[in-house]
Parts: sequence; structure tokens; C-alpha cells
Amino acid sequence: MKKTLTILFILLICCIFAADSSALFERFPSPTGFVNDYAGVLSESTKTQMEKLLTVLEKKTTAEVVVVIVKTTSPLSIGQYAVELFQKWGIGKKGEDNGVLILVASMDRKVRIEVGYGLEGNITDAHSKLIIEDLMIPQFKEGDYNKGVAAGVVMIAKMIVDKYGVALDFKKEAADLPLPAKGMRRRSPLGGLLTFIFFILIFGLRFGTLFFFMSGRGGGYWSGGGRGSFGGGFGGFGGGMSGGGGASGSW
Amino acid sequence: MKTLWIVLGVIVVTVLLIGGWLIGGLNHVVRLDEAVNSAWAQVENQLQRRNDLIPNLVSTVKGYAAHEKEVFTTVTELRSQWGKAATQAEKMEVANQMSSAISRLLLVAENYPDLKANQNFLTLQAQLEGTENRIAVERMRYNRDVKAFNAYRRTIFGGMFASMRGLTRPREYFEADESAQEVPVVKF
Repeated sequence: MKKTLTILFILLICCIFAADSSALFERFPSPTGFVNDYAGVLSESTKTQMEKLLTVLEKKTTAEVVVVIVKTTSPLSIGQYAVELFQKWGIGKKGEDNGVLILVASMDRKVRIEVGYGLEGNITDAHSKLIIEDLMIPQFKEGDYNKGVAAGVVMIAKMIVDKYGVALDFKKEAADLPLPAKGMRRRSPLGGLLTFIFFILIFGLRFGTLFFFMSGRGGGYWSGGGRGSFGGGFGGFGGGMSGGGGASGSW
Repeated sequence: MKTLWIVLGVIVVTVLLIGGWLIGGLNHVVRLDEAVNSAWAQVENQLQRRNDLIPNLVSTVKGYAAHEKEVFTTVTELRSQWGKAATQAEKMEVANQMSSAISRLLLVAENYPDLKANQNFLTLQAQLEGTENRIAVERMRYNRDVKAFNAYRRTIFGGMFASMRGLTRPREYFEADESAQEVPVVKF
């Protein structure tokens, strides 16, 4: 009897400690893949398609783009949550720090793109801000998380593909993704051209062509069919870090 | 005879253990101190980055609000003060003042709708926000490292190791300026 009681007592103590430590770790969830929808706002097909695209992206460029959707980031601000989650999950390859975190807090109505050290030169704060304001937030305002997140993901993927100079057939890999018909902001054809020239002068060829691409080619590249299947557990990310670069937005 | 060897053995092992502990402690305190140094270098990096944005910010806003002389002179003065700041404490002080000055300037800019629509200004705003965030992150990491060093310095043997390495003073935390929390009132 005494022995049983002692064992039970010890187990009880262990449970208390276990519960206490798990409360600490609960703050940041564990990744299940490149796309992690903890708020349940994305459709299954969007999740599968984005996961496929980001997996291919990682294979071709080693860059890790991660989508996380939570209901709220409190008690932390979205900026604090993003940088800590980024570090905890180690997004991007260690040393290269080529990771991007797209964080959406659906109840807070806030979104942040956190860019790792290694990609800050290509995906600047201004780029992130524009992606958020022009591609993602308009969709979120309509309540369309699928289109909003997909648009952000595809644009970032495109920028990474450009940086690494690899070929990625978006027609094939991003085929089923729901994407908005409208591209980045543009007032008039002349305005578009002037903006294009202006941005080439300020940011060089890369950003300028980005604007031109989005404003001109909107409808073209997402059509057709494609399929992918994935299984197995998720191994985790490369151990990269971010320094607080990126941009936030709210709606 | 055997007892002598055993005693010798024990003494040798004890000396080795103490030596190992000493070396471990000395190395640890140095690593903590270096972590603080490198974290501070990162903070300075981001503060410099913010400083570099200032001329562009000033000229863009001046294009629309030329008569708001006070905010411009403050910001420009602080920028040159940053260049002259030598000690860590001076730099922290200038950085905090710069934060308030920039937020005052941006508040003034709020009153000029044409300026707010200006593409260059919007880009600058994104860059400034990004830089402020980076400063906040590096500052947080720096304070974390300072905490680790200061706490170790205060432990029983940690303090001993620290003074053995000449690290007699605690490191300073990079605290936000209290006055930066106040919202400035713009008078006309």
C-alpha cells in the first residue's frame, strides 16, 4: 500500500512539472510543414498547393518560406511574435539565413512578412510592405484568406526564384492556387510606365521589372491543372535567423 | 606505500578538477562578455542604418513642409551628434533622442496629404518602420546578453571569475527613453 502511494505521489509530482513546462512551450506551436494554418481559415486545396509550391521552392533554392496563420499573437505584438517564432523554428538555412515567414493573425487582423538576414537585400522592407498592402490586405478585407495568402506566397516565391536564378515553372507548380486577378497598384498606363521607370532608377532592374510584371501580366500564368501528394512527418527547418526585417500591415 | 599512491592520485585528480573548473569559469565569463560586445555591434549597425535614412527623409519632407524648421534641425543635429558619440552610454542617449525626433517629424508629416501620397515618402516610411523594428530586435537581443552577463557576474563564483578577467563593471542595459512614450503636440 505504502509503495503504491509513493509511486502515485511521484507520478503526481511529475505530472505537475510536466504540465508546468508544457504551458511554457504551448506559446509557440510546432510546424507541420511549410504551411501552418492554426486558425483554420485556409481551404484544404490552397494549403496543399502552397505546401507543394514551397517544397519545390526549397528544393530548388534552399530558401524556406513558411506560412503561419494564428488567431492571435497576444500577449506579444505581431512583430515580437514573428521574430521569436522565426528564431524558434529556425526558418532558413543556418548561415545563409534565407528564410521568410508570412504570419497572419486572423482575429487581430494583422499580417507580417518577416525576412531572414540573407534575403533582406532582395526582399526589402519596401517590397514586403507593398506585397502586404497591395496583394494581401485587399483580399483579407474581402474575407478571402486563400487568395490573400496565396498572392503573397507566389510573389515572394517569384522574388526568391529571381534571386537564386533558378527556373521554376509557376504555371505548373502554382497551377491550382487561387490568385487575385488584380496585380500591384497602378493608376493609369502612363502612371504605370512612370512608376516603372522611377522604380528602376531607385531600386535597379529587379524591382522595376517586378512592378511591370505584375501590372502587365496579371491574368496569364495561373491556369491548367497540376497535382502533388505529400506524406510522412515534417523534419523541421534549417536553423536560420531573422533580424526584424520585413513589414507589417493591418486591416 | 600503496596509501601514498592513492593519496597522490586523489591530489592529482582534485587539482585537475579544480583547474578544469577554473578554466571553465574564466572562459564562460569571457564568452558572455563577448556576446554582449557583439550584440552591441549589431545594435550600432541598425542605428547607423537608421541614420543613413535621415538625409533622404529630411529632403523628402522638406519638399512639402519647408517651414517646419524645428523638426529638421533637431534630426540633422542628432545625426551629427551620433557621429561624434564615443562611449556606449552617449550612443544610447543619442539613439533614444533620435527615436523621439523621428517620430515628431513623422507626426508633422501626417498633416501634409500630398507628402503622404508621395511614393518616395511611402518607401521611406516602410524603410524607417523596418529599421525601427530591427533596432528593437537587436536591442532585445543585446539586453538578453547583458542580462546573462550581469547575472553571472553577480553569482558567487561568477563575480570572482569576472574580476579575474578584469570585467569588474556590469554592462548597461539599452533602455527606451521615457520621453519617447509621450505623444508630441504639434502647434500652429
